[in-house]
Amino acid sequence: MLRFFRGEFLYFLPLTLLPLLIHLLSRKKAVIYIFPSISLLKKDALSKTADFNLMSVLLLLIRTAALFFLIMYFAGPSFVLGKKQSVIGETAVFADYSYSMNRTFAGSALWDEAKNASGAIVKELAEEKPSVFIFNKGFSFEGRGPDGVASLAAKKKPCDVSAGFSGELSKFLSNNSNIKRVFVISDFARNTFTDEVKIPQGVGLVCLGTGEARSGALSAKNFYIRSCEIYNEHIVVLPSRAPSEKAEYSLSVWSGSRKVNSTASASFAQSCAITVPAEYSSGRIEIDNADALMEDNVFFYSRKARPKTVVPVLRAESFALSKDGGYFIRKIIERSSFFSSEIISDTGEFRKKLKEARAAVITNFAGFSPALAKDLREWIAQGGLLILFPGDKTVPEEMNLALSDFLPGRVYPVKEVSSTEAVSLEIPWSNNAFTAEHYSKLSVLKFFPVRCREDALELIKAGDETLSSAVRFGDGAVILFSVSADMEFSNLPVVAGFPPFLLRSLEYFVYERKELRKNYFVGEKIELPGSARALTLSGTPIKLQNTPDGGKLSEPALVPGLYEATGPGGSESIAVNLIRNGENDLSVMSTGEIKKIFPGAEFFNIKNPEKEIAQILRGKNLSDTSLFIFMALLCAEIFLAYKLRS
Amino acid sequence: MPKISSPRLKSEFLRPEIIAKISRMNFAGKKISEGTVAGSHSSPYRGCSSEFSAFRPYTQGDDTRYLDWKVYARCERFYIRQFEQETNLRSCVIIDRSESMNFGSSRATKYDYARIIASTLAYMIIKRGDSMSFSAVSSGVDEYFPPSRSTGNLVNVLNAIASIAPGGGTNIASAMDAIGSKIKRKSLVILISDMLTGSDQIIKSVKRFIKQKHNFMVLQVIDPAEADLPFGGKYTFVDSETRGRVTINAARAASSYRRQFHQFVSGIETSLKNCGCGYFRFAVSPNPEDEIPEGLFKAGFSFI
Repeated sequence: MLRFFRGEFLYFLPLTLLPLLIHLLSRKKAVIYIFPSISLLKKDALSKTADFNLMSVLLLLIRTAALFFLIMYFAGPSFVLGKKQSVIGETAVFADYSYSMNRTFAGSALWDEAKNASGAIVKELAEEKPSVFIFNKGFSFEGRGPDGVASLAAKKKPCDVSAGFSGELSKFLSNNSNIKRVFVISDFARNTFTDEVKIPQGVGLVCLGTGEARSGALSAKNFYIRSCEIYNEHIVVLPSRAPSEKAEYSLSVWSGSRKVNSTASASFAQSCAITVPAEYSSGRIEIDNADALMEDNVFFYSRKARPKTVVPVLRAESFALSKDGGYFIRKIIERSSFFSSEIISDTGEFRKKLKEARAAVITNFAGFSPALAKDLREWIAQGGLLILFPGDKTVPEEMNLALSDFLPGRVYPVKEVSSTEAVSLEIPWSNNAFTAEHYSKLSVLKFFPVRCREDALELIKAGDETLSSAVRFGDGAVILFSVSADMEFSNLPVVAGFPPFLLRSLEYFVYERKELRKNYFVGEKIELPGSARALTLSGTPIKLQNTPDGGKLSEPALVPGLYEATGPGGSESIAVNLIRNGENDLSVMSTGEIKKIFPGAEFFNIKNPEKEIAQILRGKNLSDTSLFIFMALLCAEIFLAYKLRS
Repeated sequence: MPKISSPRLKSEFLRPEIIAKISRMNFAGKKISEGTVAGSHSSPYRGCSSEFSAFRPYTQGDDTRYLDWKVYARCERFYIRQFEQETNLRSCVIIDRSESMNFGSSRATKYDYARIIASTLAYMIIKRGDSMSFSAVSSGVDEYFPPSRSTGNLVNVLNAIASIAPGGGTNIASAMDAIGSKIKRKSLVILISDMLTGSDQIIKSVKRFIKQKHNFMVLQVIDPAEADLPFGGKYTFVDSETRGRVTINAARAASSYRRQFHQFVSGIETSLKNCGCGYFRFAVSPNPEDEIPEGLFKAGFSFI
């Protein structure tokens, strides 16, 4: 079906009759001439006359056709395939509102392009009033037709992570059978779409890519800081493993415009620690690599000086011939610059140390006396963190009796297992840093089954069995493991996810829980104590709202950088960084990959949304073809006219 | 410039300039003439001219004036001396007055040109004492003047040439056959025509004349326009005789037409010359004074 971008030019179509009119009006009558004999003329003249007429008719046709194609060029014809006509149903437009859409390409932000594209679709399909959605973690309805576009226009810079949209879209399409045409506008970053989208039969899905063209290979090489571990004396940087031509990188620490420290080159596959003197409580770390984008080569940090904390570790025996639980715990704790450990076998000594400690570990201990239990109860209630590892010497009944009120659950006698099922994790203070993959090599031989209390939190589960659970008691907390801290019950001490989990738990309960949070990600609301009076960003006040618990909450932070919170105790810096969970990975999917995710869908990379959307919806633009044909006909006309005249 | 002596001989087609150039011209045909009176042309018969022809034995009744006494002295037998007879030329001028002759791209038409030629020939022939018949033909014999060597005949012929207007169709071959039946003795037949229609029949007729020992001469008159077709644009040509029409782009057809026309007239010329006919093609021009004497010379007339 032929459609026109500028249909008003079709009113000029009668002009194509102009050559015919001119031909008819200027047609000369043949001169009648009396001639002695026409016998010689007859032989040849008939064919010449036919030739003369044929050429004239041909010239006339060429002129008419040339005018026709000139008008076609201005009218902007487009050819729509048959299948595109048969869209009967509603249309939905999904615009990617994840942080990666903040990226700019050719001078404009991808999010602005997405808004323009949405607007162009709504404009083209004005009668259908398409439903407009945004998506990042999930998706939300913004309105129909112009309302939806207006809602999009009001939205500021995207600040959230996109994850798992493929599945959400599949569900949406299966639940809404009235939707027959879907437009997905996105930069198609790798993390946004992971699973194949199930497109129901009869639904036309069009993917509109923003940003650079996809030539099949990864077009964005982004080397960035994936995560940072902030310590008192140094900061450990873990870089991305996104494709990079540069195999090495180096780090530098900056405080304002002053370069504090820098490192030698490190391999892109390894993390790198940089020493940051304690006096530089806030600043930024820059990564030096040619493929690191300006926005991603920096990590803002803010830290508060944390006094080193001794963690007493109580074990059953005064000495150990083999590597017992205390050995592994000490090794792990001493990896952190915030903590040191003290292995204690004597209960009395442990009770003494407990008064000064903020966290304590008990491994493979038997003989919980009422006095010890009382001290522990009081200590935990005041804010201590107790981490309990049973062992072969542990008597579950004794433990249940002595510590029943602050244990996360009831411990049962040892149970042997033949295999370990998949591990699931739910650790609120880990910021989702740990996944089941970290425990994929966990192998459990035997364990103490634990039936958790209702108020307990199951941190690590293997199938239906709880391997680790936690419960709050007073101001403190108890974390109970079902396996020993040594290698007797399982290989937990050497599993990749265990040391960071233990250290993270210690950090959270010993320091962070009582500190003002100083490191945020883009899109998060900054929490401040009620006494905070103002938060400025580059001198601009930021609105704060009171929370029911007496604190204050800011609007979502959209711009990475260092913020300043001012309170009665002085001012402190707050670092806001880009989201690190893959959103910084700006490498985009190739066309082939997109078509794998969206089987049967059409993909277009758009640069000029208003023009291209119209072409996509209306079909292939034939303007250029018309112009080409016009030029060719013009040349033919000049040639034929010259030939006829000569 | 000589003057035509008799005021009765004045004709618009009789040009003194031409007469002056052809005054010493006579026909030098290969064939002998069968005239009725003595003249300047050789006769098949024995006569009394000064040219010796042969001896023959004396028979009773012969004029004794022609006995050759010297021969009698040598052989004692009577022989009569015979001499060649010189007779006058009998000629017939045929002019084509068909409508096709009434064509002229310039001021003069082909018929006008033909009339000048015919007038000139009539004057030249009769003034030399030869007899001449004249006929105007189209689809038949429209006008015929029997042979005569009198000045009165010349006046009549000139008046007829001046007065006969062109018109009618063309069937010269049948007209020639009709004229042929009227010519009893060997004569010089001169046809003045454009020969555009029925040329094959004309050639056949010419051959019949030649077979009958007549001298035949064709003077073809054509107009430069019909040879060159110097027209541009779209033309509908109407046949002057048949009224048939044909529409062509004259400019585009010209080259092809010229080629065909050249082949056509060349074919006529070759056919006529092959059968011993005198031929010359006149192109109508504003200066007949030069072309007509030259054409007549080339066609077979010679200066005495």
